[in-house]
Amino acid sequence: MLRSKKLFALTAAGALVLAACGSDDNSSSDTAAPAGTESAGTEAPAGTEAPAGTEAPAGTESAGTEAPAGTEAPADTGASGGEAFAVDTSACDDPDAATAPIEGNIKIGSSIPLSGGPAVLFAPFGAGAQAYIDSYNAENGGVNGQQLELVVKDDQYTADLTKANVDELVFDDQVSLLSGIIGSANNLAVEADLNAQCIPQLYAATGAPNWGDVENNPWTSGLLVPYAIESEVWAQYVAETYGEGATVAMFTVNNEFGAAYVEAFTKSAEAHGIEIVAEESIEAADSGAPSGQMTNIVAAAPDAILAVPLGAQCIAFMTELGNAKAANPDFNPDTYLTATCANKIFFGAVSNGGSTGVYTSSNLKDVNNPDVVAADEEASKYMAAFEAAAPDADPGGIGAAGWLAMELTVQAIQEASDAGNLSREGIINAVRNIDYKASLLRDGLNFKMGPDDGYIAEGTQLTQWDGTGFVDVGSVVDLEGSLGVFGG
Amino acid sequence: MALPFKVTRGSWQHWAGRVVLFGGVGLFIFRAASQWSRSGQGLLTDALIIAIAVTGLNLITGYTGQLSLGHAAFFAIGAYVSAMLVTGKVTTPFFEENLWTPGWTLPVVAVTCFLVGCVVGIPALRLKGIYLALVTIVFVEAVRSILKYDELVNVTGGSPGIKGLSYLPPSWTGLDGRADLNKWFLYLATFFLVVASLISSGLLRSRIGRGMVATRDNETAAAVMGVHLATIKTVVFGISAAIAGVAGSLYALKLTLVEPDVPKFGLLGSVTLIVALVVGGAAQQWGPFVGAMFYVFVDDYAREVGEAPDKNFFIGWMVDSTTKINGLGGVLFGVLLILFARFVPFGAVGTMRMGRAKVVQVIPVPPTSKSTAVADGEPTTVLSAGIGNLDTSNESEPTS
Repeated sequence: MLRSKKLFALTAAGALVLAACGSDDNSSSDTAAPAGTESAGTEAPAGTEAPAGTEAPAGTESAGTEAPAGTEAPADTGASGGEAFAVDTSACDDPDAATAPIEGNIKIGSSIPLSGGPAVLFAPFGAGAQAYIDSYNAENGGVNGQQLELVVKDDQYTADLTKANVDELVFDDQVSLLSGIIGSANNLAVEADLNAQCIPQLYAATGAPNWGDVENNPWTSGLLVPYAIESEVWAQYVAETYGEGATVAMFTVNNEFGAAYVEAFTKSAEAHGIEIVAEESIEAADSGAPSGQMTNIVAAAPDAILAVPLGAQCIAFMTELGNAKAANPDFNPDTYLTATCANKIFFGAVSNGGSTGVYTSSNLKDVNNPDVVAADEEASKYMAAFEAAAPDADPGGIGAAGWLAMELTVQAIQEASDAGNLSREGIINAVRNIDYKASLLRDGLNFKMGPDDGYIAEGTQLTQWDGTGFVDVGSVVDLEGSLGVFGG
Repeated sequence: MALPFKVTRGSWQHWAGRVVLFGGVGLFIFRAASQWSRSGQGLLTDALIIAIAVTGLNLITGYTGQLSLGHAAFFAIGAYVSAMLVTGKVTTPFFEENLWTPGWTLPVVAVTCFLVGCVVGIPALRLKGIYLALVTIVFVEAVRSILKYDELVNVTGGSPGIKGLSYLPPSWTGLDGRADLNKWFLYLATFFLVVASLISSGLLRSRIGRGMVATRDNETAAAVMGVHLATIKTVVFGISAAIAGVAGSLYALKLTLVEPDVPKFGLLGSVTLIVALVVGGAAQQWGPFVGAMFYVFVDDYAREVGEAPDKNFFIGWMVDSTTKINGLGGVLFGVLLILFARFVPFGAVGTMRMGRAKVVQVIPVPPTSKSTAVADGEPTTVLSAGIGNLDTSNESEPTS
């Protein structure tokens, strides 16, 4: 028995030592991280010409071009004004694969929550994405004759399943690129692999700041308005309404999503002389009413509230806000709810009037408003396509974001194909140099990126729920180029 | 010859059976590493990592009878310790530069989780059953809260967690860097599952193992027979936690990040481990492996069916291409667990052992004068008599 004990001890020790002899990124010589985006002596490859610019429609006016606090607007923020972005493929695991022409059907992969709790909020994203692909194939016969194919997998909003799905999409389904993966952790879990393999990871459906890292992760780009822009827009509104010394209470979900808002708004508040008088939080899995948090907020008597709940918590927060207003007649702060809650279903589900007057924002047209749809041909087209693809799903908010992600993706594919470089390299160059007015984007805004501009959407429209729908407040706020690049 | 065949433990026939079993599994892993796609390798690795954690859980819940719903916390602690060391969130005394490579963090993970496990095991001295389960649930939530605690944000990363982990295959493996990353993790997970299984089986053959089983079957009787309950429960909780922690570390290194809200670090993670244990078979050496395989691959299959039911062989004829059955995985699992509880109460491995026993029975080696000799002043035969129907491997032989 003593002998076998020694054997086990030796085995265990040997196991740990052997495993310990592994290396990390820093010590590996054959797997350097993707190089920067500037490579001496390289010219922009074919297919990387800046796309035709689009002018803002007449009659629209952009308001407030002040840069968010803590950021510096770069001198050159796009392809149109200077050198175009050109990705360096020499650091790819397989450089030839990155530049190889994409032949046959063009497969686009995505991983989103289709089941589990978060699916209630996020599943329409897939329906919107599929609707755009079907619509484009039907109208155009694919991209220059090559049919588009979308493969969507269910990750239940968990990062490890996203990683497994992306492996399946890349190695089994042989997709050419990924687009519209939902969730910060979900995108981060696959970011390093996809950048090393030089597979485009387009339009990550989160507003976290990470997606503007042009230098270290050039193959990854974001889709949503960065939380820093949202925070800045709200801080500007509060400062204009209440002046210097205005007080704000924050209510945020206690995870990375909420932490990103806290960090961004704290900077903006400091820049605008706003005092944060209460910071309340809620756990991501907590589905109960935030009564205790609301009591503390009422006690702080703020002029305004910044609320960042998650999913169904949006309804719970607004309901509790309504209860607090009813119980405290003097309590009537201007309340901003994160754009991820900007959903007619959520706002309409609040029965005690708590949602009435609550502010949120969106850079997309309000497709839930029949007047907007009736007056806008592109919105009408979207609604028809979405209802045909998913008659039971909500077309507003996240569904429109799915359509948008695919529209931007197909736009890049089309540009790369037109330029004769339909490859992963051609696609990411087209994405990183994009200058495009998408069909559902509000008038007065534009999607734009460049070597010094890592964020595609840097403008939005403040809106307010009037009890039946969202009403615009002021003009669109365009802060294009103000965030520069991540870490820059 | 009439059934069942009787094979003496340790005989050449018994060894031949073992060689076929272990060789078959080894061949399966080798084939996966050499021929499966990278995604298949990744999925198999996920299953093996869960199997490692379940092997740890099996020690405390399956063999010692202490129901723990807190092993997701050890999984999380293991993941975080590796992440904190690799990224330099925790500095090494006397050295200015961070010297930790991912592999060297594994021994630290094992020791840390062992110590934490011993501490958490203290309530197990007075509690059992549902009450112990409640305490361990609280432990899971407490760990999650500590990981998010603002004052520790420089160490744990707070709510956003720690990102950018990486564990590439070292050059001596002959593997091709990131291209062979999934293969590397498959080898690592296989290796540590083997080590965990060896530790588990070695422990079970020792006096501690017999004490564990005796504690599970009848604490009072075990104490009367000289089993030191406090030591057994505490140490086994620690070892169990150490194994789960190493699994968590591998999980984090493969995922490249840790966050407090990762589902496997919470109660859902604990339930995952318990489900895999029950499905595979509690107190069965092969139970964790079979249960984890079942959990991961059935879940993957169910999600695939839900995503494109029209392409499924069984139900494709019923639906068109626009039909989605999202959430089928959860439903399928619920149904399967009910069926397991009703028809396979001893888990897959337990049931297979019952079937095997009708064909081949393994007969324990009769006690010799040497095995009954007094050790440390206590006659081992007394303890053996107290554990009833268990054979010398300490695996529960289910009886129908």
